[in-house]
Amino acid sequence: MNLISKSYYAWRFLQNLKLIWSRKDGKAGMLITAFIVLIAVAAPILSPKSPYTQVLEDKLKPPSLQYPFGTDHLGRDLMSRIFHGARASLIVGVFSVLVAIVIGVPLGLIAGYYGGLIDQVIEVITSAFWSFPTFLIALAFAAAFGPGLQNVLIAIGVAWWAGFARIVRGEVLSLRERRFIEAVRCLGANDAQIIVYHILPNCINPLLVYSILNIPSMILIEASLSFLGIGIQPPHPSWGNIIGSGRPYLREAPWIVMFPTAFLALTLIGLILLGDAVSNVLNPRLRRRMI
Amino acid sequence: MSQPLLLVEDLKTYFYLPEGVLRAVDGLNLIVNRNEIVGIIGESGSGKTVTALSILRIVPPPGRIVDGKIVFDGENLLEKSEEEMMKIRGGKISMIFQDPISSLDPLYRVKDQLSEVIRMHRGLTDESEIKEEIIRLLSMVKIPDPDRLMNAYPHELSGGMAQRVMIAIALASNPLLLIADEPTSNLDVTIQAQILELLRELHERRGLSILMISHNFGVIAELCDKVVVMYCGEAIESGSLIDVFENPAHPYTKGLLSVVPKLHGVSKHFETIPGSLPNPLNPPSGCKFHPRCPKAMNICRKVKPPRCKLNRDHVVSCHLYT
Repeated sequence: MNLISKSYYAWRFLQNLKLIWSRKDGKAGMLITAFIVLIAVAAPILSPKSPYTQVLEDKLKPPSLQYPFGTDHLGRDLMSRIFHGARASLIVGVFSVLVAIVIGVPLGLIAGYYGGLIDQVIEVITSAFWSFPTFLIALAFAAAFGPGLQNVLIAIGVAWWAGFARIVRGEVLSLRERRFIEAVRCLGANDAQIIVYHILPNCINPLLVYSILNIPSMILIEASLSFLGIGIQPPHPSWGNIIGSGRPYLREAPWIVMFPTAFLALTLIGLILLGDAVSNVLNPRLRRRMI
Repeated sequence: MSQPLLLVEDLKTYFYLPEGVLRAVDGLNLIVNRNEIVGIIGESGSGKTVTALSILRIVPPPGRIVDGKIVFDGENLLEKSEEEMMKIRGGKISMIFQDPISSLDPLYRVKDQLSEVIRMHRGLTDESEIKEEIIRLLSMVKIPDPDRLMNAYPHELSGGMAQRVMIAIALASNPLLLIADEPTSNLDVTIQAQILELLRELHERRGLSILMISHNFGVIAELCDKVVVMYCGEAIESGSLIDVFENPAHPYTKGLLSVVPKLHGVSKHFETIPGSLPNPLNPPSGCKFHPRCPKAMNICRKVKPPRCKLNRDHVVSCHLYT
């Protein structure tokens, strides 16, 4: 069933983009995020050298014309490594949110819609995940799954789904009492139709905001895991493992830590600003004031 | 006489709350014949809406239909499986509600909501056929310019328009019975009259039977052939419109009718029925109305009144007539 009209949603999307752009934080967030995305996508073109080539006689070189961000302890070009590392960060940010959505949203829908014992069981599991520090759970799962980009993003998603289940459950609890759900049931819709066509689409706004606001946390967890050496493994570049590998040389070669940290901070600031702007634009009360 | 379209016998729908058992509907009898409009009237909390939800078997937990019989079109609905009920809801029995705008999913346009029902219950798949059907339904409920309006979202509709759309959705499957749960309560008076007029016309032209739920005597008098007066989950009086309105038998019905402000004649103050609805968790013994009844006798406190037939249709549950 093609119930949602595409043209309307395209129009809404463009209007939202305009509204985000019209805010100062939205504009800054969009520009910074676009900049990081550009770096990640065009890393092979923008990088002056290969991120893997070691030139041992050039190790721990300070920033210069030849090496704009300097080199690391194996003489690899830091700029190229940081640009390629942006890919890992963004991929983890986006895909671990997707993993968390795939786990958390159905659980939240089922718990909120059916209530009762099912809800209680899911609630206990959710609370268990919620009460542990997310980083600790991610650490445990990453250690269990083994290192590598794919495993890291699954580990982070598995550690993070509880929030999504919570958000969706709360939305469903209020939605299922709404008149139109009763009306749809009176018209002969079954539970699956009600959940998929009428409840889930009405949860999209808070879900979208929560997803965007969570991407920075996911990126930070990935960086932390890689810093500790159980995330993305060298020689594959990730901001976390570059910082980790630069830590012993903090005195002689502070740039190894400085540059990836700066990029990490910039990315997080950009995404947080963007997330804030999105959540404000999608909030009907604040939105009315903007239009 | 042919068998009635809807026969509700001794229906009991109880809500099992932590505080106790709430008997929302307690032994209700109701008959809707083919091509007939029956009104259920009662105060808020008298079990009108729960009756409607029970007929469609969508009583929300902790509510449950405990006992009784609901025979619709010759079949007992209480013995149907959930799948069969889904076909009946919105198929042979449709329902419209009090608050039309919030009864429509805010994310979908009018035509999307209509096409969902048409696909589900009529099995049409051809886009142009569906569009034709949507326009036919919208013109049937007298929506001006259906071509334009079918692209509107619920928030763009006025209350009256939204109720027309709801009626169109309800009628999409050619139902035999339309349950209208206070369909005009939140609309202003001119729109109210238009919606009632529309329902009457649909009844006359298509032979649609309607079960009208309202707390408004005017609405019931305007539309219905027969009336059921509910009090605390029971039908205390039922009969033809004339019987009940011109010749009320139960003290409660009399009280209700005397409360309605009159246009003619001068009254110094509003009449009221003393007291309020009893606590449904702990209803009075015997006749549930006896604490408020001006004609209460000793027997009313102890024995539940039987159903007394005053004429062919006129039935009253009161000791005064035994």
